[in-house]
Amino acid sequence: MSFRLFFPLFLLTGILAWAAHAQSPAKVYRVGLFTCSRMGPGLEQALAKRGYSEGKTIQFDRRPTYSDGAGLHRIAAEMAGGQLDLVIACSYPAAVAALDKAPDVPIVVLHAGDPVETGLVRSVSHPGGRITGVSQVSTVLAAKRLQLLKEAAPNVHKVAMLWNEGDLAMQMRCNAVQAEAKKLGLETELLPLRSPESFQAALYRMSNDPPDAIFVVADGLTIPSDDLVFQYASAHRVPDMEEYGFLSHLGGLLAYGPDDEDEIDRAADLADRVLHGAKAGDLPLELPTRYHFTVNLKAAHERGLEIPETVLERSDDVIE
Amino acid sequence: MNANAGPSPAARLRRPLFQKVFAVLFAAVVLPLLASGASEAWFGYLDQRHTLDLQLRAEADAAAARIQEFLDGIPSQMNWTVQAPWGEGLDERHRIDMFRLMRQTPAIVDAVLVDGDGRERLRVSRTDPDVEMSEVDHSADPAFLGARAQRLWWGPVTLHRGSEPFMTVAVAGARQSAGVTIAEINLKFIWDVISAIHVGQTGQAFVLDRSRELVAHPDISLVLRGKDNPAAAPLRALQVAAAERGGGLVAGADTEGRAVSAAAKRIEGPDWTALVALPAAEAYQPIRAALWRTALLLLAGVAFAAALAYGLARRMIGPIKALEDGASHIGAGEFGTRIEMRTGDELERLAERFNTMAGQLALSQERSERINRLKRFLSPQIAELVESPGHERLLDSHRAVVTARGARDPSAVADARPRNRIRDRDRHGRGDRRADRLRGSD
Repeated sequence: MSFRLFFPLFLLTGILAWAAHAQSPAKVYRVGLFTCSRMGPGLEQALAKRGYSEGKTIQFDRRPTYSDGAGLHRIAAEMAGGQLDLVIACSYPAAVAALDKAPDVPIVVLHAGDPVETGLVRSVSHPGGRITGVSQVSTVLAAKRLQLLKEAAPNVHKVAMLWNEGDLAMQMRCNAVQAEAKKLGLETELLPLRSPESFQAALYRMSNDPPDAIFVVADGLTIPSDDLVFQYASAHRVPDMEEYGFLSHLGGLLAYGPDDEDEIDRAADLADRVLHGAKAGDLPLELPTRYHFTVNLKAAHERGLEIPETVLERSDDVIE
Repeated sequence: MNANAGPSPAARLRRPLFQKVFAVLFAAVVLPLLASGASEAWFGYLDQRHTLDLQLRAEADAAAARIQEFLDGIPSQMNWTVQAPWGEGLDERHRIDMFRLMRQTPAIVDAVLVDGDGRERLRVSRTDPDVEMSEVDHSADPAFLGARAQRLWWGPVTLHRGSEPFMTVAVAGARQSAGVTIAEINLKFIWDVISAIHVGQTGQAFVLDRSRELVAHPDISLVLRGKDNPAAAPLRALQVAAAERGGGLVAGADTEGRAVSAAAKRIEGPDWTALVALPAAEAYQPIRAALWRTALLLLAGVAFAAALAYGLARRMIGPIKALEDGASHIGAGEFGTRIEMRTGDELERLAERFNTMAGQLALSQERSERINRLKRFLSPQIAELVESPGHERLLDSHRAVVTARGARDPSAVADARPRNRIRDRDRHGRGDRRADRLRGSD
């Protein structure tokens, strides 16, 4: 190097220091969503809160959560054709269909019972595989719900059970309620459901042999048709126990269960982390933290039922 | 100066003067600049560290205070259930107190009312059916004994289903007959507190218990992984390091492997440690910005110094080059060369000396040419005598003789030609020596 070049090189080095960085374009995530029926757009809102903008940074392939088993597999296969980054499954059968037909796509489950009990994941702290999500503790809550029902309506003896027979998680929940009912000296009348049409048959059976109370196991099949149950309960002046507070707001008498907004928010958080590259199987399942006991006094009044003061004393939410 | 030097003598110089002058001038400006830059950087770093220490300690204190506040809220609610003394059976007041406690304190998963003798009267849970008058004996339960002894007892952190951190809290009434309330709390609720604590822009607060397990972290998944969680290892290391330094500033890594600065504060009740960690990238951002500024200023200073040194060295070397060129020309016989220099310094005087010398050389050359011309017609001694200054009288007296002899014997004049010089010299040895002497005096 010539010594006389020494000085100009100084300037050159200074200029080279201003190097510009090119920006990479934003990715659009594709999410297959087995929708959470009447729970509304909570999940999409929870994702929007985390910075996802539909159409710009995230695209949903929305499908109904309820369909018979073969239908869900077909839907999952269709979804998988669209190069998905994530599947959000709001039921156990939907999660199974996604596991089967959408290989390598991570799955976030919610409203799918307890994924450890149903065998979807290995454990709460280390789910393994490609599934994480929010676990429901509904089989555990069965006894609690029945106890609250009995406290609110002490004369209850025979409880009609409505549940989606085609969903393993719901079947397990129903079994738990049955077992707990026996312990409490209650009789259960089983009214299994397979499709929205089977509600009519169940209601017909209930009309012929009216129960003292109705217990509805909430899922993608029963929630949309719950209005029929509320109408029946009003007409026959029987109490009903629901699993989510919002169902009480829609007309149910009593509801005890996890805070559904909280569940959806946690599921959205897990979905966000999976989209950002976390391995679903490494993210621990989240168990519900907040529980709500809702009493609908308006419904009680309509049905001519008296709710004891001790029950109101422990309720978190009273609808008047 | 070698008159035979080539056209670019600088190329052959081992260490040209330009480089030396440039180097000295450059160093004279740059070294103080560098020294001041380096000292500024060092003291800036020390200042920044001190500020960071104060800031993080304050943040750790605040985080610990907020978690303490959250925790203290639980026993203060529980206190309502240990006000009334127990009678026989389960009274309505205790039951209502318990329901209120559950409603007011969502973090409580289940609570047990134990009478003064340690027998369980009522158990209320969020997930399980209530149990009344089970009479289960709690008198040997550390929670019961601990609360009895200190009014308030904090249990160790346990994992529910191997994932969720739970902790037992027991509160005893002022009177022994009021019994003890033992509650299980879900520590996931601390997440609301911990994730609301902002440390700088990208920092985090987290809590480890006395057995170095992670209790609370903004990334709830880290907590829910339970034991055997390698990701929490760097956080444990921070806890240990901070404990050794009394909570002061420690360096380490976070769960993502980023270098962090951290400070810690003990949470008294359950003997936990609240830590706050700020990534070094952000912690030292101000000093880094200052260093960049200093570096840029240094760079500008260095460039300026280089330009200055270059200019000065050129101005100094320029006249020397001119002198060198002039000397080269004179050496090559161009005595008419004059060095033009108006620097007003020693170099100008030197140039004048050169010019004078060149003038002298030109005169001397002219005379020697005239002698040579004369030597064609005269003997060398005479030619030199003729041209020797200060011998005018001698010349005048001889001129007549020479002219007379020349007229008689023209061959004598012809003998004065140079090719006969040796013979002439032999013949006129004395005169020759004298001429030499005269020449030597020039």
